[in-house]
Amino acid sequence: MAKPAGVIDSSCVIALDALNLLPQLTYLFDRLLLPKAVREDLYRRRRTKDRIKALLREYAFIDMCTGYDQTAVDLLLIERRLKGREWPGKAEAVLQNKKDRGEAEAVVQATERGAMVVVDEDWGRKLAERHRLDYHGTIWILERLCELRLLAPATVRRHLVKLRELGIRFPLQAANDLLGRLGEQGI
Amino acid sequence: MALKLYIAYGTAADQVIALRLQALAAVNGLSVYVPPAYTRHPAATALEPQSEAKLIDSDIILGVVTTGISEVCREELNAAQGLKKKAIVIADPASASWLQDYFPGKVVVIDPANPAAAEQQIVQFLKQTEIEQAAMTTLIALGTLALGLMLFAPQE
Repeated sequence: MAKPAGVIDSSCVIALDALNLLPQLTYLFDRLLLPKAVREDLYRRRRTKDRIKALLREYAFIDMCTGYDQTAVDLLLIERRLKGREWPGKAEAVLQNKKDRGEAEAVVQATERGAMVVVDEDWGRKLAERHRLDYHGTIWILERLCELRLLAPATVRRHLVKLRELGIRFPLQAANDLLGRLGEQGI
Repeated sequence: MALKLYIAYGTAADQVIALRLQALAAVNGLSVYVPPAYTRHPAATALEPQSEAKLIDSDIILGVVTTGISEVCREELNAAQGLKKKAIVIADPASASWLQDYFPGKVVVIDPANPAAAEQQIVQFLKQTEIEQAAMTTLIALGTLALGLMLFAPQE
């Protein structure tokens, strides 16, 4: 049975790689696509740059996606900048922010490819919803892997604790809701 | 000690099957090595030192060939023969016909019309190997899963 393609944002790549869970995503996606802006965001730091290059060499199902409607991405970023005027001083930073570009590009690429968006950040999730895309984040992936018996509930909790210790951001409320459903203590 | 498996997959397109098997095997206490995708690049022709070490260390070599075979996969299967490792190759009918010549008695052909026959062959192969019951049960389950993954793999 064909599985969907997933377009992933940088924060989810970092979190899932830190947990060594990227290979397990083959159970959820036939292809996992890294947009250009997400790669550029990750390439800004030597450690993540080397890691992303290694992942692209190591796993055939992780692939780059480069061609996209750049105007659509720019329009989303302009809209974001205009809304940013509500908080003076932040507008220019928002425009330049590679993370925002990564999220916007993930949504535009997913729209063009009929793919799922894998994103944790609020703005990216709102964009995906507006584009009527299927979107999920790190917590959903942990839950699906647990449903598939590839992770035990206690391992899910250990993973969330590890993310917190590493200073990797994730939605804490959603994480604790998941732990509650799995019968595990919150973190 | 955990049973060690080495999955020699045919081409980069087969790596997804190998990774799914690896994930499932890990939760069942088996240690599975899947060579990196770049080793299936047409330019790659020789077994890497890391892969060679893993191959030597493995108890069983599982070949997965659905859309052709890369040079390095062929090297891995040849090395398994040379090292007298327990090896089994699961292949689609097109690949199986010529693989039989190279690896006689070790190729399980997947016939979409009769998948049970392939499963029986895997069971027979594993019964001939001297491994403990629990590991054999897991390997049979993995073999069956490999069949399922290959039968239901999306066709390009």
